Amino acid sequence: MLWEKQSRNLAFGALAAASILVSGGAAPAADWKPAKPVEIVIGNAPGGAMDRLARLADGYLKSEKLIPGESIVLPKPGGGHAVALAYMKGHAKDASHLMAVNTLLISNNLLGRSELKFADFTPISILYEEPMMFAVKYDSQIKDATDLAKRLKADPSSVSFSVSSGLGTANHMAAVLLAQSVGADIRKLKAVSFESGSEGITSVLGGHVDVVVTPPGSMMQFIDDKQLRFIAVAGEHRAAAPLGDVPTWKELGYNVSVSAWRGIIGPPGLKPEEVDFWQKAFDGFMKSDAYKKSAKEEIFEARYLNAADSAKFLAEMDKQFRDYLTLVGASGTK
Amino acid sequence: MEQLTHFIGGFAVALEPINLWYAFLGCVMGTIVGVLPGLGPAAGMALLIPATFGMEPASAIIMLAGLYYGAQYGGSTTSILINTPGEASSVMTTLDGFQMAKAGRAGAALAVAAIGSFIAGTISVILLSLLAVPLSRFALTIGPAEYFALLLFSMASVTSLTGSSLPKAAFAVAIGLIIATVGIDLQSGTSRFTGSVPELQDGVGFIVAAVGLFAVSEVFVTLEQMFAGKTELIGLKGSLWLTRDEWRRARMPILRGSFIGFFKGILPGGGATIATILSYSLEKGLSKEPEKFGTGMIEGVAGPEAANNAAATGAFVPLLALGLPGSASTAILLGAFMIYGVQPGPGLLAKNPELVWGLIDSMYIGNVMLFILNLPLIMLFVRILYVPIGIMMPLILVVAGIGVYSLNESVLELFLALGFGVLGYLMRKLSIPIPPLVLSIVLGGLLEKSFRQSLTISGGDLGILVGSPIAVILLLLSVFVFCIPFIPKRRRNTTEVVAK
Repeated sequence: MLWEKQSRNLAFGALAAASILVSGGAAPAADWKPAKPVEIVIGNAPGGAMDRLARLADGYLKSEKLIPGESIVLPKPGGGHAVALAYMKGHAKDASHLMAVNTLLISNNLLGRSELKFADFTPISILYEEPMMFAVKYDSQIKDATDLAKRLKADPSSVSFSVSSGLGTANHMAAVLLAQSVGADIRKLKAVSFESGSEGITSVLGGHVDVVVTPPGSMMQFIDDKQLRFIAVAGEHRAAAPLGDVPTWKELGYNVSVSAWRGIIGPPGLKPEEVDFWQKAFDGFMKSDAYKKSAKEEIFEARYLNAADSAKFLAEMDKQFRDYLTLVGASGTK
Repeated sequence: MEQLTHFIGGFAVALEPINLWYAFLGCVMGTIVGVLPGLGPAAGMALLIPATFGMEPASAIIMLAGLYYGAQYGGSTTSILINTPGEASSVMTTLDGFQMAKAGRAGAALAVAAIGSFIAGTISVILLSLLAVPLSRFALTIGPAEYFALLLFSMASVTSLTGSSLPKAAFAVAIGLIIATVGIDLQSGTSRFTGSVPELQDGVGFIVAAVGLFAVSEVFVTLEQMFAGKTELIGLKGSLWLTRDEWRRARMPILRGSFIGFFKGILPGGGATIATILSYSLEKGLSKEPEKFGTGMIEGVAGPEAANNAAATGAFVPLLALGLPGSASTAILLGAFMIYGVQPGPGLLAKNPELVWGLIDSMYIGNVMLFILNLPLIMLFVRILYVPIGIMMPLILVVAGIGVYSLNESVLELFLALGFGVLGYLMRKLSIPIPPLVLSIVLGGLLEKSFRQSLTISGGDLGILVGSPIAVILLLLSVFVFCIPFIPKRRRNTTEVVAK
């Protein structure tokens, strides 16, 4: 059954490819469509957040029949996206390859883990952000965000933070920016790294660490169950519906704002019409019901940027990350 | 009472023909994944997830879970027959399992592994049904400091119990710990000893090391023996089944292994591997003839094989009750839950009782299926021993090579495995035990991680490591276990003196 469907799609794809060959160069540039099967590459194993994004986009491309041929999600795990990025680099000028990316695109290069820079690739779109939440155990001594800031100012080592996978993540950056904005010594900041967001949440639920800094998706169950409570969000503005009551650090007077963004890039050297095709496709994706449903479940903040604005955004993120590295590096964090 | 209603309702879900079929499929795939070195349950589930799109959430999760606990059944096969563990949790099984095979008791070793897995699987599902919610609270009390103590205890056990010589085992552990430091350091984010090779950023994988150290070096040793004209077929002696005496000796280790495995399974990290070490240590500690461990004691197969199965089930406790995965495999299951729009967490039991209890009840059935499935396979698998060496050895290399290459499609890792093969050959020649090396590669990273997490929390104060009774007890046990190799020797000396 599945096979039948696949072979039909393949046949359809071959037909479409043939028709493109026949029409040759006569078609106007704006009509570019991927003739080959499309690969949406991810840098992680299946089952994670990036996989869900890639599959959602893949489903959209298929259901809207935006592409004439097949499309697949291709996991290339390893080296914190380094393996997948190298794969993309190897398919320069081939617009049938896309990759779902996040903040690692910026941080891996600046941390010296990957030779490949964001500028080596063709930005397609920034899609959405996850709000970076500060949460404490429900019965924690820490009353609210202001109380946390006060404690941190009085004694930076009196509070411990769980920052998921550590240096180079938006989670860690948020904790560092908070310490900086209250004027605390960053060397004394207790930022504990865990291998995953859920390990970090476990440590706060068990009372081993005081504050968890992570996106809300995996915490909502504990919030509803009155085991955790949110105290602040490290964003430019408050997050949407269920998190509307949580204040931003900015409105409380602390300059703590980070972006845990997700986006799509293409291999190096794509043509304008290819970029245009994909950015329109992802503009449509962001308006689709499938995206909206997933955004509601996992609590994403839509932030669609077209290719040109994405390039600017990535440059900004690159600068913010360099500043942060100077901040941690200059103050001697190991 | 409400729980009982849900429990019975769960069987209504689990016994639907379509779900029975998917549980069976999952169990079959799990057995295959477990038997093949390389493809572990985590990778197997990751491969299977895309194929489950469009299925009912309950069916898909029942199938994926079947693959997960099914893999624990098959894991022992290669450990026993060709001295190559397919999963970290079957490393301990090589110690006595392969020796049993050499003594002609491969059938009994495989049978006790299957029986142990079945009993442990069933006991732990009963515990899961009864205790999931209260036990999940207990799992939270284990923080980085307690976890460090638990890992130290495991490492101490490995060092003192797996070889004939303590210095040699300690040497193997030290090399393993050194290899475990390769990769991106979690706490500082810097690359260590990667030599700018991107493949090494995630560290040296268990499969690469295990395939090289066990399988490739086994091929080298056999090759050498063949040239020296010393090879002989191992063959089988006696019944394929357990003798009455073997069953008597295996009974209690299976029971103890089931409980140890289940309770370790609840705690995050290290998964079933630590459970097998704890079970082996306990059996050797309780045995009247501990010096015989490592020479083919059925207790040393029965306990760890029960423990790794029970741990796989125990890992469902934090996953279902809290939505917190404790291992790579359960993290993939969690991802699968979310793909089907099911949010695991404290509310899951209340919101989706049919799904949760359908899954739990399917595990009772799955365990029976696996048992029935695995028994005839024993007849088939023991035939491997009769395959001529000239065919068997290239075959091992092919399967090992595919296993390594399938992980990341990396040629570099194939060369690494070859390098480990040479290392393994040298270690065998010097009779340095291999399991401690492999286990410390697996556990060394976790040991360091929990140590440094503890010290970050305490601001560098070592006091945190003895800050709770659980940690103190485990640390004392570590010291005790490390001293064990010195005890029997003295006792033996005294008996000799008395005899004179």
